[in-house]
Amino acid sequence: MKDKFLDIYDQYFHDVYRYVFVKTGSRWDTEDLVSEIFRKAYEKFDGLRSEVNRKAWLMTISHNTVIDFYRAKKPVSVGDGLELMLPPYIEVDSLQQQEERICIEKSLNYLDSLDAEIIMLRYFSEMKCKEVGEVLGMSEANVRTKTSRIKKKLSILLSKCLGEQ
Amino acid sequence: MNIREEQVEEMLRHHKSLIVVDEEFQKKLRQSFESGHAAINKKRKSSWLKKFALPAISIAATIALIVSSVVMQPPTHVDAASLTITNQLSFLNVSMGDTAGIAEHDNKLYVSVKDKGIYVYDQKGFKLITSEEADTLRLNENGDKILFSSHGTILMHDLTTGKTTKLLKSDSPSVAYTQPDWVDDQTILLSESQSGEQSNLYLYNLQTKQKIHQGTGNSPSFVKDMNAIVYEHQNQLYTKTLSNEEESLIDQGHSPQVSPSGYYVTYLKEEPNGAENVWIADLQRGTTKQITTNPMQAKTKEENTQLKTEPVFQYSHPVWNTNSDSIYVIKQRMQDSPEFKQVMRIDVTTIKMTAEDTVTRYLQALITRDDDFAKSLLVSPPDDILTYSNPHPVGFQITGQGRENGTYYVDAELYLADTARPYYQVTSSRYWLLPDKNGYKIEKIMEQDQWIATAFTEDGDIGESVILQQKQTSEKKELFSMKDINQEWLGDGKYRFASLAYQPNADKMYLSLQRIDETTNTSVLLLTYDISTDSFALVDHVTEVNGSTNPVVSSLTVEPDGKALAVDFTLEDPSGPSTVVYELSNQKRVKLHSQLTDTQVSRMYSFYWERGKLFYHVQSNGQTIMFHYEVK
Repeated sequence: MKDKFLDIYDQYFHDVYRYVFVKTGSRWDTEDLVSEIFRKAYEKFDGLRSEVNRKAWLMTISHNTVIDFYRAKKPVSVGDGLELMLPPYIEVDSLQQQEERICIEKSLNYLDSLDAEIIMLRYFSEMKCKEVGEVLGMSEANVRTKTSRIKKKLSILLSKCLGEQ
Repeated sequence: MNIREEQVEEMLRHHKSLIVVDEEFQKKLRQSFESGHAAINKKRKSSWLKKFALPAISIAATIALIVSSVVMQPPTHVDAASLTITNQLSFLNVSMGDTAGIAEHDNKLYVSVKDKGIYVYDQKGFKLITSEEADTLRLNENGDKILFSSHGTILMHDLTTGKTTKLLKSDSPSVAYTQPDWVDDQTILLSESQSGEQSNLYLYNLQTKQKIHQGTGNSPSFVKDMNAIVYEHQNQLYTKTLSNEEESLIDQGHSPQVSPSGYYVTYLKEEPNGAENVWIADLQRGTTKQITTNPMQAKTKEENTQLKTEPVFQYSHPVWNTNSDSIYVIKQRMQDSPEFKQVMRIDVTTIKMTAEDTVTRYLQALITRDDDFAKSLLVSPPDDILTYSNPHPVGFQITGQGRENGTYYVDAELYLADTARPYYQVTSSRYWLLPDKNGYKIEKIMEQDQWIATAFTEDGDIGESVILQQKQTSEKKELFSMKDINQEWLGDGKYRFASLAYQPNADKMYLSLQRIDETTNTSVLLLTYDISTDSFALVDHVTEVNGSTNPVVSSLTVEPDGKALAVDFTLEDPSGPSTVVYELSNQKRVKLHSQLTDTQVSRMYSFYWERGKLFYHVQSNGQTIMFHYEVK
């Protein structure tokens, strides 16, 4: 059991970490939450059925743990818990990158919570539409359509933002 | 610029790649699963995680307890030496008075005030919890017990029951027990001093009353998860492992306190010029970092005309907050009397300040009169004082940002008012910034425009009309006079223009009119005036505040987007609380003293507006405390 769990740990650690980081913006909170997520996963792993998609399962734990974290932190509704400020990034060198970063942050913050969640899972945790659907309780087709619409929205928002810079 | 959808994906993925995963943390956490350690420690979320995940920190400024914190980001490197902090500090008063000791737990700040007792400060107010005076304060892990020393005796105050218990009292007047710290619920560390001798450190069991000698020194602080203590001996800081008594030198300094995470110690260290500063040391890697600045200033002019210098500040009692991401410290200006000690908070993070952050913090520092910090944000700081007395800043707003010829700029408006007089100034400036190792510094500030709204005559007296001057266009126009105001509102009263405010982005004036008839009670009319439509609207006619009649308006300021007015009244009963916020969009009137359920307010007055929040000062029990009210 331990080895199989460690395989999952190695395979998805970065995806979980980046997902949590992009949601909390705090490395300390990220490390607390990532540890919590893997601890929960470790405890539940034994009873996990073989047909369950491992990544979707792990990301569902991540998603719920972050929501719980924000629920505990301040009195907000579940939906509000998703509307989190995006963090500053670490290795930002050029001014152009800074501009892009600021615009991405602004644009993602502009999205509604579900749209932002879809983008975070798709692009910061590298999940397939089907897996995102499993985490958020949506159909794969729905996630695909929504992703396409959100990208359109983001392209407009980013164009506007970068044009203004 | 037109971004295609494919580029959106590319940009998102690129920015994902900029989030660097802390591989050391990954490895340590993995090891815990390899050993099964994780399951054992599951109930100790915070501590066991942090044992593995030693985060490094750098310091960014945020404003005190009262301000919503920004998202913090400790860096990937773990060395204290890698902290990039000195020009990112910001301070703000949270309390004034002769403050003897401080401690924080879960966003509640506990402050010991000399001759008064221990207070708790949070968003509900500033409340006395015990009249016992403390030299040092320490909260237990649950935050329900305060351990402290007072006049050589160790005491514990139970916050749940409100009872104070004497834990250890000396039989001899020459022996004093001081500087206690929690080890666990049953054990504490303390220092025992005897006149003329070096202090000794002890572990003291609260149940068995047994004292175990731990060596010579002062200011013991327990290191969680390492079963070690940090202490000071002859201005040197050491760690000592309790199991094997192994000692190692950390740095020179005194007054150490270990962070709840167990990774860092904050302490005071004297520089060769005699100025003391707050430092952080990394307990595991041994690196250190200075986190405050303390310039020298002229002290007195000697007969031989040589200047004697002294540090501007004296820092004392640096302590960590529960999350180990902020340090609270008492700060006193050397040239002020001891009553003017201030409690400051320094937040620690790796966040690199953006251009907007830099300008925001510069303007905050200007308003809160932190010259030292404001100057640290300038590439070439001037020698003279930056801050104002009257007209004084009452708010600011970032209005734009961009880049020109490769250089970043931020546009901001600064609002200034004159106490109780009809004068309001809006200065719009462009702040040019240069990248700096910690983010940005302001290279130059170019004034773009200025508006001055007054009701002064050329002789400087308060006149009968309101005038608006714009510097850029050199336009000076009389907007209206007293006779243009709806007679129904004025009635037969005699009024003069009092405080007023101007909002350039809406081209609106906000007015207070003070009734000044000698034979009748005074009252105050609050009005808005829309310049584009030449129309007035009545906000309120104030005849009394909290039952006190004859109100006199001393200040009127407007939230930069015109969402609300803050009006300070001087009342017949001078101790009456007196700031009222008028939320203009929903016509809500909020008396600010009603927001502070735990505080006996003797005076209050508005301070400044920032991002929809009014910061205001409250005087209570001899303290001046800052709170904020957020406009909905």
